[in-house]
Amino acid sequence: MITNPAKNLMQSFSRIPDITKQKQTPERGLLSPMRNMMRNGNNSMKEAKPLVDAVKAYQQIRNDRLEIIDMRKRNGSN
Amino acid sequence: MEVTEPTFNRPIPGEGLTHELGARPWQNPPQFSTVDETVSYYVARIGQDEFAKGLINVIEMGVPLTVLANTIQLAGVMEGKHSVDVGILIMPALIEAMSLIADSAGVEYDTGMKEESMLPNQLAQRVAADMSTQDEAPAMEEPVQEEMPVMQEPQPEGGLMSRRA
Repeated sequence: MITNPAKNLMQSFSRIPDITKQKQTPERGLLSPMRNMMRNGNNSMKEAKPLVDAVKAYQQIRNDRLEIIDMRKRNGSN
Repeated sequence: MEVTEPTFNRPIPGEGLTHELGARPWQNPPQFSTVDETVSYYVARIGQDEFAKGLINVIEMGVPLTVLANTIQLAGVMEGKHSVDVGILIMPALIEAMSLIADSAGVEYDTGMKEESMLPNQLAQRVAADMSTQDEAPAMEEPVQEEMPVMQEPQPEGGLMSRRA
């Protein structure tokens, strides 16, 4: 029985690679304007993504922490 | 002669132990519905001096961060701050925020990710159990003698419906 899910969650979250924004590359072809219009009308980017938001928040705080540790090491070594 | 009519307008047994639906904070819509709002609320709260001091004291006692994060989010659910699923999702961010606080304070902490990490009271219980087992002398086990099965002779059945030989 899992009494504390935090451990499993931490293990899972630590394995996820850093989330970055998708690159928007211009498409080729005759139907590319139509596709762009359909994508603009689709609000899939505005939907709530709780898991993605949670991973982003976790990675942001982790990166800040690692940055602080690095700065401390540099200051300590200098 | 007066006849008293029975009155049924009385509380049913156990009614005093119940509440109306919605009377508890977790039965109402949560204050923060998204992960971002909840994380920013907790990060701001952890960053407060009073909270940070108490948190560092607890971390110094050896309580794992996973246990602390679980307790904090559960308290948030009971206060009606956020829902259970949002609380589960923000736990890793909470652990990282607490480790950030501990790192900045220069305190060693137990993340709770190791197999052998346990609560102080669990550690005390294990130590006490080990000491009690050491005090007791090892008991000698007596060899168990297996009983030989005894062959029983078939006895003639003497009922009315018994078959004749």
